Amino acid sequence: MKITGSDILVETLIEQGADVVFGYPGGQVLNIYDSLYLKSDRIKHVITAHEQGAAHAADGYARATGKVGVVIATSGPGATNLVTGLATAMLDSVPMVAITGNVPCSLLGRDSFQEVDIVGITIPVTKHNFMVTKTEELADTVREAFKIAKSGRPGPVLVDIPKNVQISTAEYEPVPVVAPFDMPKAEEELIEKAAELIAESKKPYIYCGGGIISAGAEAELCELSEKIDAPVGCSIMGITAIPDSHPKKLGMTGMHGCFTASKAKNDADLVITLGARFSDRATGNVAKFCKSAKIIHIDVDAAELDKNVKVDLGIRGDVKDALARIIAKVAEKKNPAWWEEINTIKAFEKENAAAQIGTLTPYQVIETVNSYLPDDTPVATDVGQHQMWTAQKYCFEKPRTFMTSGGLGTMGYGMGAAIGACIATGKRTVLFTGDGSFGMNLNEMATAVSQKLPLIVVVLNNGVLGMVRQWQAAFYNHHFSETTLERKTDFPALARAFGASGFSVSTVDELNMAMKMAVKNAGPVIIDCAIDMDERVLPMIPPGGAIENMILS
Amino acid sequence: MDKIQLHLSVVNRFGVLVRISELFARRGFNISSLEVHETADPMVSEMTIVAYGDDYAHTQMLRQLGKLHDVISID
Repeated sequence: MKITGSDILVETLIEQGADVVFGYPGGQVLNIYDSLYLKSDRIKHVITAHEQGAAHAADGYARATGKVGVVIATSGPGATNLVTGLATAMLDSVPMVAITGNVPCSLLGRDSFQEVDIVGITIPVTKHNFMVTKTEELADTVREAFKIAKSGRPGPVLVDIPKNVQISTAEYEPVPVVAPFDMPKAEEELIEKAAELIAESKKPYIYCGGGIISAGAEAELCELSEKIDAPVGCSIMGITAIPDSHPKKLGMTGMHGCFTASKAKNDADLVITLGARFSDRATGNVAKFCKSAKIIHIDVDAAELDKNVKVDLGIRGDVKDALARIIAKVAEKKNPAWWEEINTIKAFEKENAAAQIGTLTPYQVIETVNSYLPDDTPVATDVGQHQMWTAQKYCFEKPRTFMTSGGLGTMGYGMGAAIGACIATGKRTVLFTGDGSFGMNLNEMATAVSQKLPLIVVVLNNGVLGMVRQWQAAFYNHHFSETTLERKTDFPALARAFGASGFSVSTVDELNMAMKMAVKNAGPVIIDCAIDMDERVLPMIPPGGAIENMILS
Repeated sequence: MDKIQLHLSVVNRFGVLVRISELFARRGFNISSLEVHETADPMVSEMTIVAYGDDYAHTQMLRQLGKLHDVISID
């Protein structure tokens, strides 16, 4: 039977497993929204305050579940408002499908009202994109979009659908959920070489990234670290790949990474890199990166091998499969001298840890909030100092519980991501944000209220753009150019204005009282935490620096 | 700087040239010459790209092009 393009689209989304989609209606997606209205018993649509929030929500949904997140926006400004969300998902390899409406094919190329070349605009920030010009091709194109989004290294895919394609009819036959393309498998010879390097190594170190989580290789990662007695450090994207309580885990490495994790990586004789891409924030000065180590790099994306760091053994393939085969090949080993060295570094780090200064310190905020929440709580952040403090101090025990913009560093990401993760999991969710980041997309409080979400928004409020201020203090002669906000925002009043609850706290006791109420609250809560404007994120490796340049206190 | 010559089979569809040239631009590789023509198969075009660069640039060109959905093969 022939049905309209908009019906085909919605049926295909349902067919491909989208139970919730995020978006915002408009002129060129009216037909799609009419189909969503008629099929609302089978697919839930969540309207956000702004398309950017919808894109981040689809991203948060995808990170929390591993499923493909879906966002829908109209043509022109609706479509361009997705760009930051797509770029965020692209840099962090998050599977997403974005659907945009466009003007009818007959009006394309005429600078029509709300016409924009969104396919052209989003080429660099999507894994692939399509414009569908025939209704007959719509279902298969959407299926292809899902397939590309979730295959290999995941990423966002955009499908642009002119209005006439939504209106015309074509045959539709449902098909099963499309399987991803076959994962490339590592060559046996390289797996053997990796096992040999591991056997020879006296000081092995595992460095993992978000690829472990994308591949679902968390168990294999733990098994390898235990079998070869190797410490595990991670990039920010790899934080939930291995529980923080795991005895082999040292923590995050990189610019604001834990000293022990970074120093041990520097001192290792073998760095086994798994599903990480050696971003500049993670490596610092590449010329001085892991000088004394041989480096193995396993990644599903061949283009990442030797891109940022020249490695001794680059292996392209599915990291889950490669790990299982390496585990089967290596003998169990113990490295007591190596661990003694690591424990000495740990002790040094403990003695030299920088003290925070305020009445209510950032670490106290993170730890206190953490103490009220179960291990499976989705945790989102925005970007800046609060993000690094959360990455350093929050105790992450379960995969997919940390939604943070690692690659693009998108201030304003958090509200949308927290909403998406909260809706996807049905669990009480926490967002750690700063007064700067929160100001960018706090309009999404309206969404959290209308959706009655149990969302706790913890604002680490220092009245300044703290991360930029920290750099201005360290590298720009304390010229605090445009980072002192002088705003008078009353966050509890703002919460009430949105129909939510809010508290202002300036001591640990007050924060405890607020959290006791927040974890019982049915809807969203803002907790405004007053912290000192001169708190810093430490340790810090200055940009382009190496471990010996690390500022501890 | 060595001369790098790339022969690509690509999908014959509007916008494919933009995707390829955008990739070169974004990664900072300059295209010295470019030639595109249809093949006997109307779905497929062939493309010859000449650029200059070191081994690193050459490898990145091959691997990044290999990720493009509309690139069928490279040699």
